[in-house]
Amino acid sequence: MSTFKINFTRRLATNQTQEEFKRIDEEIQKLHTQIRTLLTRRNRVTPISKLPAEIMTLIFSIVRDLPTTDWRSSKGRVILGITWVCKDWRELVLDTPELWRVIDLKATGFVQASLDRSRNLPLSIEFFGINQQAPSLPLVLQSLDRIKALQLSGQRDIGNAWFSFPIQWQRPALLLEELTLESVTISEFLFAGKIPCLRRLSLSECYFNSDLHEVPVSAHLNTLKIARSHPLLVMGDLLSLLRLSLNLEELELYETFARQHLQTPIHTLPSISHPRLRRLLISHEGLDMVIALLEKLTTSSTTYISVQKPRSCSLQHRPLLISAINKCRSREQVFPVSLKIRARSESSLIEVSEDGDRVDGPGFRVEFTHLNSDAVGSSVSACDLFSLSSLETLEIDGGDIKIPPALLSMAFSSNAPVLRTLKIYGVASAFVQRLTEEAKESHLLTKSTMGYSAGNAGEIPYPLRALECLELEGFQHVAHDLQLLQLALTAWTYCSGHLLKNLIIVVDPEDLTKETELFEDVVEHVEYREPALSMEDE
Amino acid sequence: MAAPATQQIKIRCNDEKEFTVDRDVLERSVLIKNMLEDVTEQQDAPIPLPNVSGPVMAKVLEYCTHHRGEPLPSADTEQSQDETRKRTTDISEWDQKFITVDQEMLFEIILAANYLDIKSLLDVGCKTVANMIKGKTPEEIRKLFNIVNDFTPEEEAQIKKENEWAEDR
Repeated sequence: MSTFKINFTRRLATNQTQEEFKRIDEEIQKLHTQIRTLLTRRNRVTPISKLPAEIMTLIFSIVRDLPTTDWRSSKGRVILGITWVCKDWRELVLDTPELWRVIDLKATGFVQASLDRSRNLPLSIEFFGINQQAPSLPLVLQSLDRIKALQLSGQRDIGNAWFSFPIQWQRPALLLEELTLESVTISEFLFAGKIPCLRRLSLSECYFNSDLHEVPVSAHLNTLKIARSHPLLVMGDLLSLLRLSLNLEELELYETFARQHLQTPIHTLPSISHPRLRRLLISHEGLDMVIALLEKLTTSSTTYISVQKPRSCSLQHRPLLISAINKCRSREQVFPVSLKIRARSESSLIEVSEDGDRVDGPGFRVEFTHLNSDAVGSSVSACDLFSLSSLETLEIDGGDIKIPPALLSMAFSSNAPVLRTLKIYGVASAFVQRLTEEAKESHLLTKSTMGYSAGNAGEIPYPLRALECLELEGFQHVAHDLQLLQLALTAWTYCSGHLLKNLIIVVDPEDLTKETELFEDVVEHVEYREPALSMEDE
Repeated sequence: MAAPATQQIKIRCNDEKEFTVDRDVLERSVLIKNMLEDVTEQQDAPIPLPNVSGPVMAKVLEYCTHHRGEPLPSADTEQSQDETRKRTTDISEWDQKFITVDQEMLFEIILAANYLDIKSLLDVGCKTVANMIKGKTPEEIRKLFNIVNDFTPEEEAQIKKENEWAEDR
């Protein structure tokens, strides 16, 4: 009995207590919420809270990018740490994709969150001490088309095994501008995918499982650094690479060449002009290699050239070295800024005038005139002798001969990065056709609809990016050609990120119908000229 | 025609404090530079600056006077400057001394630099705050800026989980 009574009383008491507990807990909860609200309000009167969101974002991004030696302070972790300070900071950081575009591959669980929070922004990825078991790398490489900067440093195993990229790398990395690799195997897989926007490439202590010519050069490459490659590189390969990268502004070589490779007959290779090269640094290379390289390169007279600690170089070799540097940085060297090619069937005469007709400092005009179809081919080869990287004006007059594709291709040369004025006479239809094909190849025009892919606007490399003035004459089917031109220029606008300043269309007014409104959205100023007004007197 | 370098311009702050300053010093501020370019005739009335107080303006003018004559960043280099701003952390010795002020003044200078559009001063201010944050734990950052932990238990749990992610190697 007594047990029953006790149980009953206790149950009664327990029920009452539970209700009381519940009531008090609710009150505590309410107070907690109020306290937290007050704490947040308190935070909002601190001096730092006066700074608006855009300034706080700027400060946080500076914090993220500050150099550090502590792995715990890697860029991804720094941003994560900021979200743990207070509610307002957390909300701001979580809602700012810009702060999440630097991804820390070491924090595996955190990679997906970074990928999500950075939304569609271009990514910057850094990883030091990566090994074959890095589970987050494949995850990130799935977003390869978003990566703008990639810095990977491999961890060399005991057996000298370099880190190898997974096979996914075969996909194109359309946005990648900066690639820094250290202690990484460079296999054919690595560069099977295209890296068309690559601007800065740094390869340090990398194992070359493939030839150097598989290194991804793009027309935009302006910085190349190679240090301590394994095995040591062949000079001829480097020269081939340099021939493809005429936009180079900085070249650094550190203990990269093997002496025996000089036995390769590099004297047969043509010299390479690098007028845009501002800085050339050669360090710890054999003297003979340095001299061989300097003899093949021609830079501007203002290029900074530094040869540090050349091997096998004694005092008596010093004059040799100085002479090679002076020859490389020749004051006599000039680069063409304007090139005019005129093709005519009546004569096979080629005239090249380079009589010091200088234009604004170091540069001269080159004019190939009266070319027949054979000679046009020769002129293309002749043009190849000159560096197109300094070219600002190009005029191609197709005349009455069928212009070879190679010559027209020159107008699209990605090695002419500062070409501002392009004049095409006689062969406008062929040019427009080529321009459209180029846009299709860049996947900017789809075959089915001829619509545009606006994605990656301003990022896809496309020829003639610096173009400001385009003059065209020689349309065969005016209405059709101008429609195509409008499509191609729209695609070009997406890529170059700016409108063409001046478009001059030389056409008989009778051939024009409603085309005059075609270019309103893609060109700042359109001018229609009658043929007689445009062509120069013979 | 460009104005003579010695032209004096009057400005008035939100506390009615007035300054008379050489035009080239004031033109470090893109906001004031644009205002002056829009005014064709010489005006005697001071330019009102409703978002800046006298003491803060005095500091800003100290900075502008020291850096007068230095090239202003042009519009086309702005993007590349944004890139380099994040990478270079160096603050010159003079700037460091100049910006050694209490937190309240530091943030006021940043706000004024932002309002007046003086990019280099905004840079110095932001880098200074960034250097204060760098390398500190969340608790240390709270202490530094007099911030308190206002997270809910659910947020705390989430943060704990994130901490484990960050340590996951």
